[in-house]
Amino acid sequence: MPTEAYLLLGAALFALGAAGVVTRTNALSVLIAVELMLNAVNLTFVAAARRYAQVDGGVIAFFVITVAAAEVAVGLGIIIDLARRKTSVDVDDAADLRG
Amino acid sequence: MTPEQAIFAIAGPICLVAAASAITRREPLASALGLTVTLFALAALFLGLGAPFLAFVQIAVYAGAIMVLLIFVIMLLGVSHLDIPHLKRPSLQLAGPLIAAALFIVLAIATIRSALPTASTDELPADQVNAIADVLFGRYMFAFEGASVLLLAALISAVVIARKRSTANEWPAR
Repeated sequence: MPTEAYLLLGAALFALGAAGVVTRTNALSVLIAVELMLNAVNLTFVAAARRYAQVDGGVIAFFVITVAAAEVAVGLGIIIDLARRKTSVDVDDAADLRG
Repeated sequence: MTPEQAIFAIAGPICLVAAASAITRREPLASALGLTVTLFALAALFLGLGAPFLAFVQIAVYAGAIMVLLIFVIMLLGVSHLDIPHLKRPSLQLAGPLIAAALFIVLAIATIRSALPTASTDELPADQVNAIADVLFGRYMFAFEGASVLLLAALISAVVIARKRSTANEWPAR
């Protein structure tokens, strides 16, 4: 398979994730859409690693997975706190600057 | 048809359909299921790309640990938080596909029109784990240590942010 096929698939996944981030109002759904975007980027990194026969792309994808784990842990903590304060996880309810 | 082409032909469409369902379903749990299927399909694509180590990291860490955490919180918060954006903001119904299409067209044009440097004729090393370990603990050692500090910081901050606030012992003072 040409590398471009993987890049196009990654672009499609990234576009879907971006649309999800912008249009969803449930904080959990927004988080899921962000995960989708991270994975789209991972696919392009692994495809590039194969094309240039260097494992660096795989290592970067490995770091992205690590950062995603940290992001999900903190993000879910924030969502739990939000649900406790506002009794909803709607991002529109969290639009004000003070709790 | 090579094994890689077969994997791409099967996992690629599964990936796209599952991703579309992940961002269009109203229940967060259904979205999480769509994301899980996407993650497994991506792991299959990684296998096809000759990165078995990453494929299994993807399944163990992403589809395993991260998704369990996500689904745990979705169920903890209950199913009452349905996301019905088009009832609240009708414009979003149209904006979603438009944003996705516009972004994809821009990225696709950039991909097709840009001349990628010529592919390397070498093959990826067969012993992936050794090769990745060499690079990870060699060139990327400081990034690796930084990632472990990041994970510790995220662990502590998640506990601090999500813990129940008692009035007697409030920290930081608010």
